[in-house]
Amino acid sequence: MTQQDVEMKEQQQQVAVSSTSSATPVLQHLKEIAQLIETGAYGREVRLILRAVRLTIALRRKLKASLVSSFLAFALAPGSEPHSRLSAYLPKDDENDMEVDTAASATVKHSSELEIYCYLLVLIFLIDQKKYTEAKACSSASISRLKNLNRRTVDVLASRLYFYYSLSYELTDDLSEIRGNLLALHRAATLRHDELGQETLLNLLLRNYLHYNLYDQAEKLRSKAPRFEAHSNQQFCRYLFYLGKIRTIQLEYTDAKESLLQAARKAPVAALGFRVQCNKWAVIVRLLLGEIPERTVFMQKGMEKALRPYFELTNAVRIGDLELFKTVAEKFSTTFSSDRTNNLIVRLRHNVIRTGLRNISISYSRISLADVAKKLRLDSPNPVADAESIVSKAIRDGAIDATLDHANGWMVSKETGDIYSTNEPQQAFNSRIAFCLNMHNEAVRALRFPPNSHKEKESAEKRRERQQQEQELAKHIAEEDDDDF
Amino acid sequence: MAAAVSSAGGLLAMLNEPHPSLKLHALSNLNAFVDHFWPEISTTVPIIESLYEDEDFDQRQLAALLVSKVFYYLGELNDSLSYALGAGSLFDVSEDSDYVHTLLAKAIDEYAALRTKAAESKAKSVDVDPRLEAIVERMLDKCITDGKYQQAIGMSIECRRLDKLKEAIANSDNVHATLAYCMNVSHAFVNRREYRREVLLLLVKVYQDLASPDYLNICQCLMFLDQPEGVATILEKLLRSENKDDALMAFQIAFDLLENEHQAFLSGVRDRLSSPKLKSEQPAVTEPNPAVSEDTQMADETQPLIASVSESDPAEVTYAERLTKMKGILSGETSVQLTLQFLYSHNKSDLLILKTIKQSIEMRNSVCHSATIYANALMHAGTTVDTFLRENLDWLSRATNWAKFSATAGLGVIHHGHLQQGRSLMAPYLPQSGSGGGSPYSEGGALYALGLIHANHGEGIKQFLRDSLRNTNVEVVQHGACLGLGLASLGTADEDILEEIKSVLYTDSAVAGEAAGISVGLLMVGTANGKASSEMLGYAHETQHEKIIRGLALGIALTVYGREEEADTLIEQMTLDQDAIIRYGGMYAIALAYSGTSNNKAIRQLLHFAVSDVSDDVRRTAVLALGFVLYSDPEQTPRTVALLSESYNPHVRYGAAMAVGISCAGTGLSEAISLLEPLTSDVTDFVRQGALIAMAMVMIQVSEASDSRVGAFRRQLEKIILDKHEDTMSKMGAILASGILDAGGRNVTIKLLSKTKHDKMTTVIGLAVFSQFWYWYPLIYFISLAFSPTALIGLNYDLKVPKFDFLSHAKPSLFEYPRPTSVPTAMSTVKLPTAVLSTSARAKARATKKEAEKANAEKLSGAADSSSVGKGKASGPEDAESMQVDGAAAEKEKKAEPEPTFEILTNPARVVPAQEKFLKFLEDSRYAPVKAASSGFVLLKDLRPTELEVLALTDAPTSAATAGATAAAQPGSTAAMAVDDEPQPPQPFEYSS
Repeated sequence: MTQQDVEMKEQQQQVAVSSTSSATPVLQHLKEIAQLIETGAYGREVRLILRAVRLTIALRRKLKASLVSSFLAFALAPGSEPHSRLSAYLPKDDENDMEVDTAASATVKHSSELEIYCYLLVLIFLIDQKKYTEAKACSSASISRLKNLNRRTVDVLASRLYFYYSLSYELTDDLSEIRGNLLALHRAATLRHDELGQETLLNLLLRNYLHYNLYDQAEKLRSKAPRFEAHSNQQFCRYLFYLGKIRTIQLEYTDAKESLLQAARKAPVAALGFRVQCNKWAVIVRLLLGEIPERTVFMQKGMEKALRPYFELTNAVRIGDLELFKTVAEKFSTTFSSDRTNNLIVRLRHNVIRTGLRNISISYSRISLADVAKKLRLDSPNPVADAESIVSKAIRDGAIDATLDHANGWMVSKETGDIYSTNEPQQAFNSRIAFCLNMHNEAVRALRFPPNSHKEKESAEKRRERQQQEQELAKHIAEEDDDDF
Repeated sequence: MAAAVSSAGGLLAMLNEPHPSLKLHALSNLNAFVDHFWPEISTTVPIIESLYEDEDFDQRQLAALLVSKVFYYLGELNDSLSYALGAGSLFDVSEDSDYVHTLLAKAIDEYAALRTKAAESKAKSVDVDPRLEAIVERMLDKCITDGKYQQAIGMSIECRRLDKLKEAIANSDNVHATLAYCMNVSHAFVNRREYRREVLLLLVKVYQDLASPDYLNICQCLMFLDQPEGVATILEKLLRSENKDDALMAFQIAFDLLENEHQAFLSGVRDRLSSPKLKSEQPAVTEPNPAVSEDTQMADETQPLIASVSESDPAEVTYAERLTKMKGILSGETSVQLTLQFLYSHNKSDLLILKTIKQSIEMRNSVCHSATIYANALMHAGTTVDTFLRENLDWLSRATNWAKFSATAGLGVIHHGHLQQGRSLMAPYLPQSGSGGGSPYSEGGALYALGLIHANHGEGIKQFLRDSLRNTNVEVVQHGACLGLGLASLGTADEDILEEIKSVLYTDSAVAGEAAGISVGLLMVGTANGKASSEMLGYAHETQHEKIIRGLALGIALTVYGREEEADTLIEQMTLDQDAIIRYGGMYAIALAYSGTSNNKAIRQLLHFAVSDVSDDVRRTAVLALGFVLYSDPEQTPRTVALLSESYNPHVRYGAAMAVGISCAGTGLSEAISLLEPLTSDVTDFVRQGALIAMAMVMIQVSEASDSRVGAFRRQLEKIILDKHEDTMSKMGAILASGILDAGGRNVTIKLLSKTKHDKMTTVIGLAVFSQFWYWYPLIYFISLAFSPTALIGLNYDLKVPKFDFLSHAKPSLFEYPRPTSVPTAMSTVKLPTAVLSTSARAKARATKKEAEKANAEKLSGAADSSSVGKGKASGPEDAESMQVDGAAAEKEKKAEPEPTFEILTNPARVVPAQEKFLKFLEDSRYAPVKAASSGFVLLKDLRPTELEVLALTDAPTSAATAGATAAAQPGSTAAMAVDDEPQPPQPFEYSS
């Protein structure tokens, strides 16, 4: 698995930060963010803190060691315990002596939210600078600090911290070390009804398990953990992706396909890597289901190259050509093993045969088993018997609609009925409508109205005017009524 | 170790092995790793459970612990707890982990729930798991040994473990503080009335066992428990004590009890106090004594003190003398009189506002005309100042029919608490036996007025009202008499009176019947008399008159006042009724039964009706009722009704405004004002009316300096009143609002809770009936029951008011009276001349009156009268004027120098609620209060008893001779009755028991 899906970022909104490289505007922005967090913490507005986190991600590329340290000095009282601890993680670069406005910082009494935010900022910075060991230390420190805080406004920041905590360990390939910790954190989040934290931690745990191919344990945890309506779209996407993977391994292809496609659809446009991963898995699952993905799937913008091996694979399955399938699988075996999809591709062989068989059954109303074996290129000692068993199995599974004539040794296909005479289109239509309605409802729920806009006062004069008009209108109507008689 | 093992599969497989040692190994390892592998273990829980159930397996407890932990991770706390109990000693309570903490909390919750359920179902056998009980007890003991008494108290109250509660209190380092905390908790968090009684009973016991009992608190508890005997015993003990301070304490207790206005309880105390002592020990000496001191009490000031000190050897004499005072206090006579004197002497009402109103309203608009009369009555409630009426007799005479009724009744509000002279005051208007001359409207109004004067202190007037009721069959007079009688005998549950009112009720006259319904309710307040209420309900179904049904519905609601769950059956019956008016009564029943409890169930019920009932009246009342349920926690109300105040339904909006007005009355709460502000300019006229009235209730006695919106509101009121195009409804609201805003000469506020956080019954009842003015304007006067003076009145041993100073450590401007409106700013040019004329006329009037008074040979400052009628009336304007002059002078001074940060107040002083926390008694003062209090009546310890005392409020004499004389001079008695010939009104406070 590549890191691409991990790096899914919330970059939907490109904040119009002037691209000047000078440090001050960025610092200014950071200070504004700090202000935002303070207001959010004071007014218990989780929304504001969420926004602060998003703004920070946008500033990410512009962070510099000097910047971060001067921000720390602004946000935390210099010399205080968290300040000295966090500063220790930052690399010292001498060219930039800190020009900090200490006057302001001395009086500011920082909230715990701001402190946590500083941890987050430093951590992001360290990871971007590829200083993974420091990042590990910093994240562990932040997690232990978090354990003593039980405030709902911290939850947003905490869930981000969990994420980077896991990421920093993954980057150094020590994921198994923190599994116990994550489990404990997940438990604590459940007890505190911190649903965002639960979501994040559950995903991290699943990822942790899947990293070591512990699909069974992952599924057990997933099924036992409390479920609720998702809070964060990103976390929900991830959850769906992991769920799809688990289901694929457990042979529940229909459900897996649904999850994976949904994950791909829900993922933000910017999260290209994540969507590529989703699509790879979705393609395989669809092939395993006997479906052939459309060509447009492979031609999506920015994915052509990554999906190329899967495209060829699909082609092989579509034709039902075992030879071609073998060569493709060999040709791209390195890609597939790095994608960890090798074991699934092995499963596909069976599908190739079946697809070929389906093609034959569509093309011929009656065909001898020997011809079937030849067309399928079955190179076993007794191809006719093999073909017979394959065909009979396909008939039993419902893959083809045909009967076997054992006496004559041929396969007779049945006429395909008109699909529009069944309920199928109706059901498809229904599911699409349901999807649209659901989408609409979610959009409505996500709307935010400016507060109190409906309360605009009507002045006394206006009211009188309006009442007079209403009366006149009523009179008018009454008169008209009279006229009618 | 943990990281090396990637699956618990092996260990789980081992559980299926036959050998116990293998199982044991698996179990102990699983127990260690459960944090990591609980998802896996959870699939094999049945096997482990069967291990626990296997009697032969010797490590069953370990299995139970493991299962408990797995269930904990699965979020099944109930199962987890039951297995944890099965784990016995392996479940370590002192372990510091989330698992243990969570389960302990769960255990306590579970235990509390079981105990509550057991207590409520009244089942004898409480089948609580002994292991659960053991855990909870362990926790309680731990709290007590760790010194966390508050936690222990909270838990034991929650778990209904009164034994542990007692232990916790007894063990705490500061028993008094702990008891006070416990008191608070029991009021705030114990929802069920019966259980609260148990807790309080325990508290009383603990209090009494203390070395230095806190009698004040004991008596408060006893009052809640309705045990007058206990209070009487304590008071008697204190009164009989050698120590004078004890007597002072007894008086203080009596005043504090009085503040809760529980007439029946107080008279119970009074009866129990007097009878044994007087008859058994002091038959001869004490019998004449009360009579003597009753009369002379006010006149001779210092004599009793000296007398009692000097003749110290007959202890009984001292006791008898103290007892007289005590009875005076308990009957309310003393406090009513002092309040009256205070309100009279500190009256700061602004007649100019009334004049403005009077001139701006249209002549023929009778609604606004009577609203002005209401406003005048409220502004002068309890001050005895009726100058405005006196100066505008012509204008007043425009009131006819029911307007006349309320105009007459308004006198009752103005003279509220004027117990001695009340009857002679109203004499010209009262029905005369024989000559049926007067208008029934003024006669009925006068009877109602008598009720208002004697509200809750009706011993002396009851008989007269009963006679009047019996002797008439005019329904208007009956109406007035019923209301009056109900007010005077508030909450006494007198059977005879009940019968008489009922006979009026059964005449099935709409006008009289409505009043009779309310009156029965007033009479039976808080008695939850099942028979009476079912009778009333039956009749409500029978009668055809909506007015009667409405009166009865409210009456029934009044009977369940403060009964909480006891009223549930009745509430259900009423709220499920088909008749909307009875459902409407049901809303009031909820409001009153749960008044001030913030009971969640009641709130839920009301909110449900507020949005779902088909009748607008019921919805409006349901929202309004929220105000009553929530008044103990006023900050809650604006939040609760915020959404309702934006309802599309104007009735609901009106209800929301009134709910805020009621529960936040007198607080000046910022959120409340913000909520009401948009409603004052609502599109619907009656919503504006309600919002204006509610706003006035919230802002009463809040100065402009502390909230600038007060000034804006005053200007808004003026604008609405002057605006010719404004709807009558909102205009009426604005006029009433100005009356409420400046009520009682700007010296009263609306307080629903006493200082000890108990409900003030009269206030609640007053507001409940007041909110009926939607249907019947004369009921507006009931709001005067809710007015309580904002005063600190220090009293010495003789219950006199000595002069002394104390400190208010805040800027004077924060709490000062509003500036009197000035002529040029308030008036348009057209009105200017009239205003000037009126002042000059007043100046002239003053001069002439002064002369008249001199002729009357009555010295103003001497030990003469002021609570007497005529005197009060005559000197009213004069005082007001001189005060205005003072105010102006003070203002000038203020402009000259920067405002000081403190202010010296002189006893008795106006202390608004917000000011209370700034009050301080001076260190070197002569007097020290017996208890820390910052408003109301405070008994003072005299630290220098030898010095001569200077008394305040001596300008309010009560000598009988002058009363008659001045009553004769009373210009209002145009009926030319020989008032002065009338015999002295009977002393209403004599108790010849």
